[in-house]
Amino acid sequence: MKKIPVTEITDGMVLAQAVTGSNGNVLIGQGTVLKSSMSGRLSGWGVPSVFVESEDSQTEAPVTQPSSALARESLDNIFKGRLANSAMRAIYKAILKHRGFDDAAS
Amino acid sequence: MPRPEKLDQLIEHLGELPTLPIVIQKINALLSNPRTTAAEVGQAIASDQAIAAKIIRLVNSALYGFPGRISTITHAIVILGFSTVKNVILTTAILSRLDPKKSVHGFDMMGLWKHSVATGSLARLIASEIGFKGKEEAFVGGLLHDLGKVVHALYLPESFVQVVNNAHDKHILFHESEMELHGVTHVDIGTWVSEKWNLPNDLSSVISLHHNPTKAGNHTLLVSIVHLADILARALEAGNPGDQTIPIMDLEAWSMLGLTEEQLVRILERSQAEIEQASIFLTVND
Repeated sequence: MKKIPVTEITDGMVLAQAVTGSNGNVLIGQGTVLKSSMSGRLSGWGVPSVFVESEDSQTEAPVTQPSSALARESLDNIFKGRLANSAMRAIYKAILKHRGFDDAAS
Repeated sequence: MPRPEKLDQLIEHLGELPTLPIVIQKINALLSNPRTTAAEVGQAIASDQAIAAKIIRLVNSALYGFPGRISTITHAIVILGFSTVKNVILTTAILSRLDPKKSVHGFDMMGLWKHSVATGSLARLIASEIGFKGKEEAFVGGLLHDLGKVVHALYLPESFVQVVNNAHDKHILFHESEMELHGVTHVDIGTWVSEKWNLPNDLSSVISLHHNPTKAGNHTLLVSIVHLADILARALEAGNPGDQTIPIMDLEAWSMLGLTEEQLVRILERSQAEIEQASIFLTVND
């Protein structure tokens, strides 16, 4: 079993641990065969990573990207195509500052 | 405004929407009379003990600043004022019918409620920051702005999940996905529910116009506050509004609010604590 960010899901991976909602209800059951197209849906549900079956006996393989980079990617994805609007730029800048991303001053 | 034909079709499938508790009708009538006393409101609510107990628990939460010190509804009105208690009563009545703990297969319903609580909390903070008097109306407006989504998800879960999945797959806004699939949006459904439940005008304006705040007439400032709060909640990735992108801020509303960067950052900094405290509304039926 290894933990991967949802952006790295590829077709045919098998879910090793059920994905549950905030109140514990099962959203996707253990053993489900995943498709890469599910990653958008999962991150929309607020699920940043999943556990998938792995032939590699080493568990808990390190996540390849640091979490701050993932967080930034997710934020930029939300604001994609929105920054032509001056208010959205001001909001984006305030969010960067609030979340401590280092280019906030630029 | 005539109801879109497609909404009629959707409503037909929604089935029976529950009615609000009778006590809320009495309270609305009492509260529209300026001569009503706190004791009269207290007596009216006491006729529905289940609702009364929930209200007492909420007004004794950290959110209202007097935790554990309020023993009766009358006492709550004296300490917190009519406006605050009125909004707690209204919210309790609505949440008693749309339980936040109810799950929907294939969708993280609690995530939608978390988005709602975050929007309410941010709306309250924005209202405080700009000195808007209706802070509690802003909170309730934010908490219930997506009433149409909640009703759609609970009463027509399969069609709701289709909208969510379509929005994610195409990276479009929830209401764009609704238009593509059903030709009606959560705003239409929410407007229908507000009429059916006879919700106060300011709240129904928020529900109907949170994507078009400057069309809200007398309620433009309130609706603009919730419009921005919705955007900030998405930018903070607090909860799950059902899509992964963000509505564009209405520039007229933005300049009306007139927030500086410093104010905006202050609102964001205070938001986490405020959201945590306001989450008590999600356990109202426990």
